[in-house]
Amino acid sequence: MSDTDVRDEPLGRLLDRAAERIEDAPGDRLAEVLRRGSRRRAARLTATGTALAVFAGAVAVAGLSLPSEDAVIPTDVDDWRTFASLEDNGWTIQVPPPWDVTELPACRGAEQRIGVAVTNVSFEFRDPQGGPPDCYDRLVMAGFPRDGVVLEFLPIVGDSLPGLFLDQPDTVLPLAPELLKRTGGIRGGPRETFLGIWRDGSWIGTVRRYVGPDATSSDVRALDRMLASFSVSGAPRWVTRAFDVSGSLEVTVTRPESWRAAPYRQIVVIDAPSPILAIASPGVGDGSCRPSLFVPWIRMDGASAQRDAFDVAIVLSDASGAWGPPELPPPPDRFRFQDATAQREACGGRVRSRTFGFEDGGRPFLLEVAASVEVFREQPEVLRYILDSIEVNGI
Amino acid sequence: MADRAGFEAFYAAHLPRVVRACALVLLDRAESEDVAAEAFARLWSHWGRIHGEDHAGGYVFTTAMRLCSKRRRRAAREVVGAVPERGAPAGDPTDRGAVIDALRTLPLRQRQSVVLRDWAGFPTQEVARILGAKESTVRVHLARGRAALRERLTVEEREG
Repeated sequence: MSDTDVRDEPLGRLLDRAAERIEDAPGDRLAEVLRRGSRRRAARLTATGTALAVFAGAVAVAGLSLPSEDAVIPTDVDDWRTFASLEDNGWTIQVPPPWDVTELPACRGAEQRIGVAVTNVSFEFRDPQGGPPDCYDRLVMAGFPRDGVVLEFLPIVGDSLPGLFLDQPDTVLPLAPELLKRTGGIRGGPRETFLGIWRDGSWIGTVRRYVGPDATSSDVRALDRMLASFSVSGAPRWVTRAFDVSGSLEVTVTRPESWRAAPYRQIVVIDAPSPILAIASPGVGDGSCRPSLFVPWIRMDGASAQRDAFDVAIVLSDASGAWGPPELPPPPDRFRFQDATAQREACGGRVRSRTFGFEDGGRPFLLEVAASVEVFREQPEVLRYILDSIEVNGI
Repeated sequence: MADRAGFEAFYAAHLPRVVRACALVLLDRAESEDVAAEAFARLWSHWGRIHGEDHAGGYVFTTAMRLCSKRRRRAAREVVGAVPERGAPAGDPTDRGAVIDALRTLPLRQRQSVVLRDWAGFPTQEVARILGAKESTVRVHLARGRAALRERLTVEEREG
């Protein structure tokens, strides 16, 4: 320690007093910690697999538990009410017991027969003509309480709009508020975000989230826990996995389970960044032009080009062996495409590549992202979510 | 099978300190408990490979600070429903609320540097390792953070 490395004692005492506000006994969460830690360890050791909910039975709105008069929202989401549209490919959602549920009719031909709007306040939803909500109609939010929040899912007949939308990857669950797209909002009314839900190449419905300007943070938290509980059978899930990319380095990344991720083995490039981890989406575009990054699982003979196709590829490289690596900043708070240190385009701009450089723990890294903009025009937040989740940790 | 009893003892001994450090950084008790729980869960997932309390302590603080950073940037992105940041008038430094308000005005990296160095007592070199930053960078964060806090709290500088 140098002689200038002195603790600021007066400041330390002030911080001590501030810290004293926090009582000594945090909640007992040891059992939860052990459970979550064991789960992480198991996830690292085994191939990721996610059990998907299987829905069976007749079409029905199913309040699987009775509404409660208790105005307190239980801490455990499992204690909330469950609502669902129980087709084989239906949806389900957990609802805080005191909150209101309005059934929304889906259009004829939609994969699910009903939608839902859940709100923390009493409010009668109407269609623009003043009648009860109808399929395809947006809900009229005029007069909605300023402290209200709403989560809405409305099934749609995506196949009835051929050619209108480019094929999109299946929507990954659970949803998070930052994955939804913003609208211009409603003047003086609730702020609105939304996301189209895709499955098997079809647009099956839209989730909308409304937050009134005076909504409490606890209601917004409950809204987002409800959003996270939204489930569609067969949808891929987010998975978090730590990859041991060397004896002393671990990279943790959260990605859709349908995406592949693998460390490079024994690739050391002299005087250049050495790739250590690749993450890539499945291919859903027409395949006429794809990112051209080398990923570990590509067969060199090209015999399984279709199986190996991808529309987005992310490659993390260790640049510590590179000749004359530039001075790099710490990991950004958020990877923003406009902050890339290098960029390339291919296929007339249909495929774009961005490279980010950062230093973590005194070690330089490069992150290259190549994506088909056609496929990810609808879901750029998914890509950002993955990038922001990347953590490099020394062990 | 990892040494569960050893982990439980480490958890009991260090949890309050990690929660407090996170609370001083996040300024939110519930969030800091969540972060600490996740950090200890990650520690448990590596427990068999981590030897010695110092290594475990470094790992759990590093993980907790990374999670704090993630929480803060996610909160910054989640404009809707965010609890407005309170203003931070200069105040009586003996008032705990004034200290919290002053901390709230610091950028996250400065807040983390000050909490880890001046509250938790880690040497600057260790703070740099925990934050994944260069030591020189941490020194800059420390200097700026301390100066801002002194200005707000009118802490009398003590000759070192």
